[in-house]
Amino acid sequence: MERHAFILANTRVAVPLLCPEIRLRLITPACPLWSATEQDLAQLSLADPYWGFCWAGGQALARHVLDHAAGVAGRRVFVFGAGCGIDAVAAAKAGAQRVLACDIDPMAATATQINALLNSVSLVTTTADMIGSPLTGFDVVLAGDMFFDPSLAAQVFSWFGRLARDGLEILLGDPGRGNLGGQPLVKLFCCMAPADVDMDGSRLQETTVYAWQRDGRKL
Amino acid sequence: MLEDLLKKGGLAVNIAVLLKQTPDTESVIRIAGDGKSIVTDDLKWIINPYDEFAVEVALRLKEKHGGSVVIVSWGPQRVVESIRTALAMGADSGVLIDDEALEGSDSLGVAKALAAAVQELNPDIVLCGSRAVDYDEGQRGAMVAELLGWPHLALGVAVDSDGSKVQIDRPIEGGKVAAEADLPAVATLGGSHAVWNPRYASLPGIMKAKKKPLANKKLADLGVDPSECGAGAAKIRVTALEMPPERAAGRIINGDLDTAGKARELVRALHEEAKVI
Repeated sequence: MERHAFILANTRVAVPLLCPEIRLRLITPACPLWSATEQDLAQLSLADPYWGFCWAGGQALARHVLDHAAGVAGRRVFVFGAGCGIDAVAAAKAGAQRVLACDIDPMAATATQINALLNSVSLVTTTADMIGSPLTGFDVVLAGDMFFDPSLAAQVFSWFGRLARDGLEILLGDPGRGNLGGQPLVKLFCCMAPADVDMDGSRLQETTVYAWQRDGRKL
Repeated sequence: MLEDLLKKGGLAVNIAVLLKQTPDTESVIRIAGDGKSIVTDDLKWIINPYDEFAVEVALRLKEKHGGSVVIVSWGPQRVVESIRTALAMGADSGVLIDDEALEGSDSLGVAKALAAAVQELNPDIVLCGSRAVDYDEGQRGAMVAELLGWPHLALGVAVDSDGSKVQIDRPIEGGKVAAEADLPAVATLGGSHAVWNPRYASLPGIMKAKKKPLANKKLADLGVDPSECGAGAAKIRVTALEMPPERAAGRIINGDLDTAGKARELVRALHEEAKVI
């Protein structure tokens, strides 16, 4: 099925717990896909739909961006691992001059476009693998909940180190997944965010938003 | 937070499940050229069903008392898929002992690695299947318990814990035994799919599992001397594998006879040919 139609058919409009001013199309308990098993997913040949859920790290980061709009207003924002697009939407709502939402999954790019429209903001998406790119022409990098895999985290952190040296401001959100040790991060904001893909928000987990320190102080 | 409070109240239990990846029970098994191993190309791999019961028991204990469930397994990277399945069912984290030195280990070699991993994780309860559907040796749980110096409750078909003890029911001929042991302890699970009815992971669980921590360990990380594991250290050697004999074709009683004739012919065949009556 065509991506756009698939997403519309398999998601519902939901309001993320921490960001009631944003609406997102997500896979909720009301969607048949919610109860799909591994076999069902294999039959659908659907790549892991990270875009169908609003992860704790991304949600906390979006809250921070909305509460500190001056941090992105008028600036050029790159969103790494956009997923459902919550951080890209938050940056656009906060007045970013332009937002590029990057996710290598084409479904995520489509979901981000759908969710941008749903929130009446405009942004650009790309499915290019941007890890290692100098991100010329950007001022701010947002990365929500992208540090769950130690080897991917290590790769991204060496890239972020270079970007920080080039003067980019980097913000990330993480619900204590344990892969941030040794990185030059400073805590900006701590909150209880809905536990992983727990749509009714009945279970919360401590989630932190960090800024990358340019002077290299380690966490 | 609630989990910590329960823990302080002596209720929460931290559980390690020892999980083996085995060929799917639906797979067509072929014996390799050496006559004592199987061809593993194109096999579908699953969680050993008895270990899946252990995952289910661990999750029920966690739901009831709080605590955490860690999955411990061993083997090549394909085993990650089975650990992720257990994480998708609701386990919290995983450890995979992926070390070439483990290849060709007998049960004792594997148990040494598992016991070292358990020691590092320091759980209250270790659960695993009483046997695995591949080689059916039934030694893993008992050996790990012995290496740890912990009690071993075997073949449980009901398991509970109050945070200081673990209780099991074990079926015996014509009845059951209720047994308990102080924690820490190892319990191995018997029963069947019908007894435990392990849960299926659905999409939110599957996606959650993608972001749960899964650590890869070498024997050296666990303080295990590789020379104690692997084919070289194996004290048990499989000498031969044999497929079950092909079943003889069934026999159909002549359909042209009337009912009484069919019954006569059936009785005669059972008496004279099959010699069962």
